[in-house]
Amino acid sequence: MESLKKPILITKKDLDTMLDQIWPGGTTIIENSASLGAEFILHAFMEYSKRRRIPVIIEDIFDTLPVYLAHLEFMGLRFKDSDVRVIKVGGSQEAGNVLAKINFENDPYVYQRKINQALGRIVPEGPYIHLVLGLERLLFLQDDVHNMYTHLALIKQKLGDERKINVYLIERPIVRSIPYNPLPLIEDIATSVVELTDEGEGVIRIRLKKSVLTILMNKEYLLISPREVLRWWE
Amino acid sequence: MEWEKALEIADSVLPGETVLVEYTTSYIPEFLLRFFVDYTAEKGIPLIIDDNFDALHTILVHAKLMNLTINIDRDDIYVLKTGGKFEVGNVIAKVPFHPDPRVYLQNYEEASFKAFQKIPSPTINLVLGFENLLIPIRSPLDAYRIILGMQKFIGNKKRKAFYIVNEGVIENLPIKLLGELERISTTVIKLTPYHTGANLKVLKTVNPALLERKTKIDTGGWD
Repeated sequence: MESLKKPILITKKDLDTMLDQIWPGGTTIIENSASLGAEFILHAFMEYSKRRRIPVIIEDIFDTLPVYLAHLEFMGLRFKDSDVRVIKVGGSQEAGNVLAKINFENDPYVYQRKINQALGRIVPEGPYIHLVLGLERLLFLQDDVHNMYTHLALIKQKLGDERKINVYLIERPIVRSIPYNPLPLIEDIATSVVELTDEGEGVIRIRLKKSVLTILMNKEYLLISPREVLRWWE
Repeated sequence: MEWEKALEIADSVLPGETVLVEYTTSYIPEFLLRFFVDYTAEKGIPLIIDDNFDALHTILVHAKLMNLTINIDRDDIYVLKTGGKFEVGNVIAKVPFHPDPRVYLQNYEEASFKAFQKIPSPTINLVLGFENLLIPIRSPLDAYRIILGMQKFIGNKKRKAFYIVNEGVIENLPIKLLGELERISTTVIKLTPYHTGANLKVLKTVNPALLERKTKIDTGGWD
């Protein structure tokens, strides 16, 4: 009976099954409150992309990617630059294979147009994962709340484009401190929402806040040990 | 899907009522749209959807990705569209949005008046993305103008109106309007999601049939 009480950790295969549920045309929001949750997500997507041969393009806003990569290096993980395709937005610390670089734009319309132009130049054939890091930095820097809403309206318009798997990794403690918390609106736009928190002993709890998986599996959350699944610190 | 309890509640709502339905992050809007599409089909009454700033498109994309069938291409489902760029369904009127609510409300009243004349009553009026109308608002006075525009429709027996609003979104807007929305509504329903359904609670109602109502609505699977 002990095994029933204690939720079982998910395996690499379960993780793949979960990531397979992120469909092209949808927008997935990952809200991280776990101490190494962002590093875990970045690593998991890089591995998944390799195994499934779906390219990942990282939109790196204000040098967010180099932070996570530097942390991962301490854990013994180094990625080949050529595997990390990046559109760099603002910032000065280059990381990965920077395929396009755009200046930070205060006008949301100009910003999205530039991103779309950059994507148009570099995207491969077939579906790809567009992983956005540092959205909280972008939203934090908006000096007018209406500019923030315009950014979100433009994110909403990406829904339904079936070549793209949109994934936004958001640091929850940071985005929540923005004067008008945009999370409820972002969650409303999203096709699925998951939340990561620390469960202790290096285990991360993945809460399925808005996900078809909750209904299919009749589960509200999953537990994963990055150390075991992704072989951290080996 | 197991709709019996929801059916009974929708039936109990009186003509002329303005019902505020509050939800938080979940697929509640997708299931509500499906419910109202099925409900009006079964009752043989028209459905008018107010689609504010692509809320309908968003819901339909989500539904498609979760394999939830919602067929809005029916002769007696009409869409009143404000703002946005994705036209879906049978759009009978496009209401030009204007940041000055006085201009916008006049546009809306003209469009909806024409629409209601063409469509046999009674109807269900489902309002989606109402929050999006409040986002461009810059002053409390303008916010109140929207509220005053909305309250004029209370008691209009040609329709039962359901405003589907995200509580978290409304509460985090710069101008706080949830209290006013709850005050002017004839019935306030709160839906709290759990992993396979939602708990329904009537917070306020002028309708004795709905007083103190509490129930659990489980999706029980879908197609």
